[in-house]
Amino acid sequence: MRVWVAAAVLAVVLAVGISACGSGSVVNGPPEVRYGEDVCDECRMIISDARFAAAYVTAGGDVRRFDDIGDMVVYFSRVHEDVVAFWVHDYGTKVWLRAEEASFVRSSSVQTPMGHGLVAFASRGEAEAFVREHGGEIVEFGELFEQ
Amino acid sequence: MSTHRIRFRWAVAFLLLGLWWVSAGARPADTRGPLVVSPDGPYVSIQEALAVASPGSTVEVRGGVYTGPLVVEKSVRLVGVDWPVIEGNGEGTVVKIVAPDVYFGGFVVRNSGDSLDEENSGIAVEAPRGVVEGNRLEETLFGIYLREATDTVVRGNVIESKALDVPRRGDPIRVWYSSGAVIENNVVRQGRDVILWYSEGLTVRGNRVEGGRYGLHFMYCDDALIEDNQLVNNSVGAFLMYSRRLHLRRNFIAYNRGPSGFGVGLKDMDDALVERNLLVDNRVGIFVDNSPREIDSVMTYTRNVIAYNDVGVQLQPSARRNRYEANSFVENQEQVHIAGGGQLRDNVWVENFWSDYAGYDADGDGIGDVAYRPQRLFEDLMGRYPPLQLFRYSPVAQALDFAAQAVPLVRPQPKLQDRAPRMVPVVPSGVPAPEGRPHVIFGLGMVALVLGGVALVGWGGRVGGRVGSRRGLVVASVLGERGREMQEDVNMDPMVRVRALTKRFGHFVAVRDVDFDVARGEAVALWGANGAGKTTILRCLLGLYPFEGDVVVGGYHARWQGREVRRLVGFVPQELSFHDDLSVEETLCFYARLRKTTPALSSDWVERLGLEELAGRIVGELSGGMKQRLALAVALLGDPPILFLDEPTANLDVRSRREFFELLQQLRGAGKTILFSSHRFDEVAALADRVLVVEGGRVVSGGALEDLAAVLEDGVVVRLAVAPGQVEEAVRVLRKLGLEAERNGTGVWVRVPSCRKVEPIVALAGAGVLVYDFALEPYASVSVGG
Repeated sequence: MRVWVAAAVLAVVLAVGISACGSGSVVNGPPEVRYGEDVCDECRMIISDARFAAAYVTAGGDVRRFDDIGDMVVYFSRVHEDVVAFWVHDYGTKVWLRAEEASFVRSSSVQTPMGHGLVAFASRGEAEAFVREHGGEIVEFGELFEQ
Repeated sequence: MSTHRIRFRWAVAFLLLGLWWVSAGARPADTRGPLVVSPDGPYVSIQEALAVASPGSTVEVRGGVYTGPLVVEKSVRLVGVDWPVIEGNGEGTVVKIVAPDVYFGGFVVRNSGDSLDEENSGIAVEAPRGVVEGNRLEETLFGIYLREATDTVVRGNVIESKALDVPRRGDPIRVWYSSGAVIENNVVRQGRDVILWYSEGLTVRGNRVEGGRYGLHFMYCDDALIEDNQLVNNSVGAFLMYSRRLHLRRNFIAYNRGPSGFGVGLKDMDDALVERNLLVDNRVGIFVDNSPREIDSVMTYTRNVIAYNDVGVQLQPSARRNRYEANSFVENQEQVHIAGGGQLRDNVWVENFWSDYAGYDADGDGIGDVAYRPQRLFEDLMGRYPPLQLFRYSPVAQALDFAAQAVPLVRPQPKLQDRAPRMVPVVPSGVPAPEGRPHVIFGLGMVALVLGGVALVGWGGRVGGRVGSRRGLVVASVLGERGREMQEDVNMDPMVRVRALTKRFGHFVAVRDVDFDVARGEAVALWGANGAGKTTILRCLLGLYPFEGDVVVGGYHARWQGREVRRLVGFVPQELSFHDDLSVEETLCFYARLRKTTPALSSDWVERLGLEELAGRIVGELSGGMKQRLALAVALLGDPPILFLDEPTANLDVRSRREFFELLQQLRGAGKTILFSSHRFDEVAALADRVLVVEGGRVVSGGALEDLAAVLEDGVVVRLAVAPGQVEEAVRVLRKLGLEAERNGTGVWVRVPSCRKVEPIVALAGAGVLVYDFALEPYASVSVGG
């Protein structure tokens, strides 16, 4: 029995070690999202569309991933973690952007995965062009957390 | 107004009427019947017919290929005959209905554009009260899209999406701001999601959704009824969010194993009722997050069967006011999981069936006498540290749980408590029978087992040492006879190996140091008096009780692989627990679904057991013999190589008993390995190759029938059923012969030397006492166990 218990303890130590190594820590740069595999930390749905996907990295190096920018706002507003960087995608090019540097549009004409209707753009000019074509309003990142 | 002017106006009116009459007469008028569209005329395009149709007209479109897009701007009936095709040529939406009260049915709609941004669809309905019925949609991005189409009916359509990666597919059905819509009897294959958002009072009934991402995805839809659907092989069966008063009932939700892998997910829901669903072989049967939201709301889950999932029910630790009543938790690898570990509070668990419940029901009221309290250290740790799932099925996990039992200081608090656990499962009636290819699913399941077995080689040690035999068994199951030959080449291990089996109930030792083997194809009897411990031995072998010692069945260790053992073993319990309101066919189909095997009525054994002609009979009306046959048929589902039977004829009359044993002899002839318990010597003699005599929880002797003389030297007990009112007379007659005889309920118990077994019967017959039946048992002075 001693052998079994020792094996168990060893395995737990190994597993905890593995978990520490494999928790998806990101120090610099945007996080990785495996589309079609990763699930949203807020709604538990599968993240499939890069245009709407968002993420943030905590001070501890943990990555939270979301299928909808609005879900990131909801999740963060609830848990209030110490965050190093928020990330969103440019709606047109699907390139990662630092959320603080992006311009956001809230529009009922955009059907985002969780219905928040939020999309991000690399420049204000692109956001304005989108509003002209599809309607909606331009909002800054900080304003997202005020509602 | 002058008379002249009035005459002029009348003349104009008549003139206009005449012109209309002439123009209408030039073409087949809809007032005289439908407007007919066909490649040969009178109309050759649907658009042309619609141009002249009046509200309420019927446009009948005959077989042929017609070019889209088609926009329906009038309230007409469009009826396809001989499957006319509306071809979208890969551009835009193929059919758009913008008028209310349109009927559209009987068409093949194909080849829409593939723009997700433009939401290119097969059929888009943007007006109320439409009916879209009996169409086939092929190569469409979105299938049927209701936009502000209140009270529209989507019925009996078959929808197959474009062959794209899942995220790039559209939704086969999308209901958007369309309250009161009815979605029923549609078949959806390989789409993305069936979306139902921002709509109240929906009915979703009788649909089959397979091979997609979300079988159903509800958001902001209050008061919906979701019933009789089949949601299979999707990433998630049904994800229900931000809605109130949803009623989910009688759905078959199975094999949903994508990244989320929920059978049913409920997030931010209030007052949902989830009842009589069959949730089978999903990663998580039911997932509950932040539901209910409101303080005066309750979530109710009742009479569901939650079976063979990795996790039966998964809850966030914050879950409150969830009521689980009369559900059946069957063989889930983890019955209830709390994300993040810990305990649940303010939830009610009452009268559920738990397949891993190890309590007892001494008063026979169907409710266990001790509470069900799952206490597993490893599950608790796994909840807190998800990476530990890597070790979930390893010996390490078993060792941790074992250590927790040995050292109570580290024993976790139970995550829940069901004070009144049921002893038998609740079987919901009316759940739709699954379609498709169950044999393929079964085969895939077996392949998964092979892979699992191969993976386990890596664990080495005792488990790894048995993989060879397990793989042999699986190969036999998949490949049939050829596989069996291969198996014989690779594996000569006994089918059942029992070493030092001991089972204690508290301080009471029901089974003590039992050793025996059962070879492949052998029939072995556990013979002993009632209470000798036979049932306890069988339940340990099935992994239903925790025990000490080593039991290997078909290569699986019963202590930590009970589920795998039970997949290999057909078990006929002593007490049958069928649902009396179901028919024989429904009962077999239900258990076939649970075992993921072929439809039961096509089974050769069902025919041999004489159940085919009883298919429609209600189980409650069957005789004891027929119920026993049904139990055997259920045990034989999936053609298991091993049968365990616990006192299989205890409640049968003489004729039924004989017939039943003839069937068992056929099964032995067919190569089944059979282990059965009995207290009747005649049954043992009729079937067994070897007999293990069980007394006081021990196997006191074992060998071929002819070797039992020594055992029988102590004599045997003959139990006699005699005519009512003659019991006292029978006892008197037997004692007069110098035999030890006692009244035993409504019969008589008499101990005789083994060479005088018939003597009591002859003596009673001579004294005019009518003997209806008799049974032989070994004499045992000690009677213990179960």
